Amino acid sequence: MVKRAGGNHATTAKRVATHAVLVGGSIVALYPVLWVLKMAFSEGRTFAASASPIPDSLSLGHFVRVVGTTGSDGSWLFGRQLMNSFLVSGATTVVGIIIATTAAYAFSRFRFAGRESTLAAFLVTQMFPGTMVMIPLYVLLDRLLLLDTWTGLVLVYSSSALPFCVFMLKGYFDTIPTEIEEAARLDGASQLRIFWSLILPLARPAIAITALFSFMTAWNEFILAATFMGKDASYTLPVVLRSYVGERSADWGAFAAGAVLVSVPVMSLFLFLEKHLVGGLTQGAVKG
Amino acid sequence: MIAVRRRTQVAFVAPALILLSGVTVYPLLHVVWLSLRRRLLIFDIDRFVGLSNYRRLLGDDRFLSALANTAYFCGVSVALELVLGVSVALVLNRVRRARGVVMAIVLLPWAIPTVVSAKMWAWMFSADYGVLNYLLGRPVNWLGSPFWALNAAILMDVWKTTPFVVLLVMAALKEIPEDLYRAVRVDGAGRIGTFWYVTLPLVAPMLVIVAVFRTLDAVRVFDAVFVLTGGGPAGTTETLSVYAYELLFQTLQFGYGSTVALSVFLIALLLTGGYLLVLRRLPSRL
Repeated sequence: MVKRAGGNHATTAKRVATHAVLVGGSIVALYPVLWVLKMAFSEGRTFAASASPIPDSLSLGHFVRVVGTTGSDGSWLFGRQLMNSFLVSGATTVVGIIIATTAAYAFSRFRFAGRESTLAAFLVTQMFPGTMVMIPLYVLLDRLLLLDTWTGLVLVYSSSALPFCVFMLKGYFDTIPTEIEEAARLDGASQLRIFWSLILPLARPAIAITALFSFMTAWNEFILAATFMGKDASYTLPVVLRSYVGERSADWGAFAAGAVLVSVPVMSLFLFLEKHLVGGLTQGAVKG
Repeated sequence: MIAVRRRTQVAFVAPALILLSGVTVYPLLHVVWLSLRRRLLIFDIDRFVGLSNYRRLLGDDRFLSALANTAYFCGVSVALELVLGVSVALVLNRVRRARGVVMAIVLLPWAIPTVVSAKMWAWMFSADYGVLNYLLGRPVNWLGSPFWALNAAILMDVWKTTPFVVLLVMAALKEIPEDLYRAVRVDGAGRIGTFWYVTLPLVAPMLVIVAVFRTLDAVRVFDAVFVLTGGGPAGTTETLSVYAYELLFQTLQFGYGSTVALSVFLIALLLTGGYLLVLRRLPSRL
């Protein structure tokens, strides 16, 4: 009896603690974000000192200003930059998925010479600091005539998310039993067919994560984009965003509105894929 | 038959290998070559100097201070992220109702582009109009004081990347069989005992991997510090990557700048080696 009462007590305390952590964590996670929303939807360029992230007034002025940005020749600059962001990130995602799934499948299923060391080399490329490769990549893209092009950025971005995606996908492929493949092979299916119509559908959760990672890498990156792209019309949105608040200007309203616009696509993709997130990751990835 | 299979197998790895070697191996060789030269194009200087750039590192106070900053940033942020990440993941793992919504909120900071979060925190930290000082009721010069500025960068990094740790730890927790918990409880283990003897050992391999990826990111930290403090005040928050960037793009010292950038890579390589040794020693009890 006594023990049972104690148990109940512990559960209540546990429940309170759980909720405290969740509420606290949510506030910490949300508070800065709510502030950006407040700035974005407020009027004017100054904000009265206040701790509340609830806006006093609602206005779309900043959004209209940011979206309506035009270039010196009168063309719709914001639209152009939005398209740059979408095309570069979309292409990076597609290229990333194709390259990461094929490589991860090979590492998971085939036993070839140098397999272990190639995997290790993949991890090594994850250690390159961005500043280290900036100049050589600039020179390389320049020689290939890819500076100021989408192709150049897509090549660089799809390689930077690759090692993590390959490790993750390999871990997932490892958990898929090989028996199904053997059966298909006996029925005369080719390797490519097995991969395409058997393995890929089974690995959907892990592919969702690969897509998310590749898209996020490309969508959020701004240093390389600012370095490799030479003119306003070829910038991606994060590069533009940074220029709103910098040495020359402090237009927080425009920055916040732009921040909301830039975050919406990533968030949507994130929420759309969220249910796959935990399921797609496995500890298998660490067993090499 | 076998030859055909070989060829298919090669075709599967080839795209990744070609892309990675083009975009990483070539730049690496190029950087090594640059690091052996004294190259100041504005003064028309470009000559081979052997290892002298590497010797210069050891006597360069700014390099040593950037090294110390990087070590501090890396150690504190990764430790905090792991502890907080595991705690939040354990709590989230118990949530049954509205789990999707809670997950979405907790993961939010990770989904926000770095430019946005860094600028947003710069605004919150602002001494004059920042909301943090308003909440505190007294003016702390967060980004202008040598002590606070680097910690501010750490705070932002922890805010942004703890969700990533939570996500991966939850994936590991998911694989622990419920029976195991029940068995330990029958044996009379308390909450702490269960965590120590069941949860922690089984999550450990994933923790090492998370630690590797987080450490690699923290050692190379650039955009968070660069956007938040720009390396200031007076270079007190300058990390190795920021210093390398300054050398390469502000003062255009391609040779020495490459040497500093390369040192970041070598440190990352050493640390990963260390982690892998740990990983190999872990008893695999799964």
